[in-house]
Amino acid sequence: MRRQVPFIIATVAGVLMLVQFFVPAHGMVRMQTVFTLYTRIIGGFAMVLGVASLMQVSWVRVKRRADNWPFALTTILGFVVMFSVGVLGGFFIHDPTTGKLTWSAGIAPDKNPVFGWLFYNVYTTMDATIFSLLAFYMASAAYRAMRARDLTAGMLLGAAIIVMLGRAPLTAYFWDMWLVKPTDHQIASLGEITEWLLTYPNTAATRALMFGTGLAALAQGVRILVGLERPYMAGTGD
Amino acid sequence: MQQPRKGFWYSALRIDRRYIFMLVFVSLTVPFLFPGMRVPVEVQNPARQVYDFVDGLNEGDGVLVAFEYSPSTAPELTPMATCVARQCLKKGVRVYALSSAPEGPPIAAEVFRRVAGDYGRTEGEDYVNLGYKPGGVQAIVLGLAQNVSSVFPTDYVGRAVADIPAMRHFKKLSDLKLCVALSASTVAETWMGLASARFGVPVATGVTGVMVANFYAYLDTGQLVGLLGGMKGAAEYERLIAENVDPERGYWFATRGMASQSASHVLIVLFVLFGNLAMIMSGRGQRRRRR
Repeated sequence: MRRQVPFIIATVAGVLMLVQFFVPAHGMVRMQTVFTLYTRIIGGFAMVLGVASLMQVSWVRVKRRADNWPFALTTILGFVVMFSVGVLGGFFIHDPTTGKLTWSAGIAPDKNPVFGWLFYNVYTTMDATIFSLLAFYMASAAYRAMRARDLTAGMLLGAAIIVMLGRAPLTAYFWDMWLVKPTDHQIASLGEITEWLLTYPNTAATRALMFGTGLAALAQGVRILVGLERPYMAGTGD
Repeated sequence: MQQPRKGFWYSALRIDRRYIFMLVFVSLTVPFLFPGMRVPVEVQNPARQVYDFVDGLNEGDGVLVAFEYSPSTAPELTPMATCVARQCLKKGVRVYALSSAPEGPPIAAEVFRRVAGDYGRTEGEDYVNLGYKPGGVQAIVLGLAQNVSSVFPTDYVGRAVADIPAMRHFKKLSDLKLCVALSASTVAETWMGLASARFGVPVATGVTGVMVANFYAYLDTGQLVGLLGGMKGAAEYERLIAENVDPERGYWFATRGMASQSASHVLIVLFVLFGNLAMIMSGRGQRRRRR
């Protein structure tokens, strides 16, 4: 039963959702509405579970003074502060039109100034900073790894250089000034060359990849529906 | 006895990456010391298609903007959202914002706060921030196709959707004239695959620069009515807004960032060329020493 019940649930739900896509009868649409409502509810509970799990793991690391435990403590403090400010702030905000308490407005930065300050000046800046580090590592990787060791690598490198320079307005401007205008537009602008590369060779290759991944996803879906693969049983030992 | 390797090109292949980091830092920050510097941006067709589509809308039409990104990609995507909101609100087109990412609604609130007052637009009448809903974008879009209030019974600040005047014109997805999905992930494909392919609502998308190559295939088939690619795409849209909609406020963050982007792209290309030259020259040096 432990293996059959999840399989039956997964297969029946999957087949029903597949059928309702092609059969727009009122009952099927109603069923889809209910299923998507269940999905949103489960998503909300999944978020609660995720946060609880993160807090538990972090607390254990702090209690045991494991490696890098100050970072785990920072995680807990950050969560507690943002949660408290967002939830408690809502108990002091009233809707100006109705006068009613709108506690969910606690997470609106323009309604809760403290939450807004923390969101824009702490969270947003930190998130953008971490992502910005990518630029430095990509530059270093480009210097060390992008080598034209053979013809195909050289073609890839050439296309990459053209697209990179084409997406930089300054180089496109100088290209136009020194090559396009003096030759009376006999030479295409760098932007046009970039667009051609992206629209034709890139699109052809992307479409081929999409067909491949689409067919693979279709095959994977069929395997899950018939029970050959059971990702919902992961971690159960079955 | 084997001769020890040495030489400029051998050292160049093994340069400390901190020097590379420093040069990238200089290329990115120096242009910002000259705030008046504006690099001319050539507008390409994908961005122009977005502008033209919004320009063809009428007063009272509805546009949905999905803020499916976090602050890490806000420098690329928020200028796009600002341009869409500016062009729509200037024309009197209603803008509805929502998100399947928790950080989306505050970003949307900031965009509206920055733009709406310039044209005398009010929240609830001309624009609505519906907020965030968990469960994945697929469940959200499928729910919106049936009934908006079943997915978003209240807006971002807890006001009942039934009490919001602008929501009288947006009961389900097909009431909209355009969906603009701003995303740094495959969520934009989901919006296109469901809202456009299944429910017939035109979709335009704005994505980060690294993802834009994936979406040209959809542009070619008409599955997307327009595409904004990275900060360059946002700068192109800002130029169109500045030239045709609002000359005083059109140019903003994306245009300012083009100088830094140009400098860093040129620097990376020089790195690549220099690295290949070093590889060739160090290979010649080794062959000479073996002879």
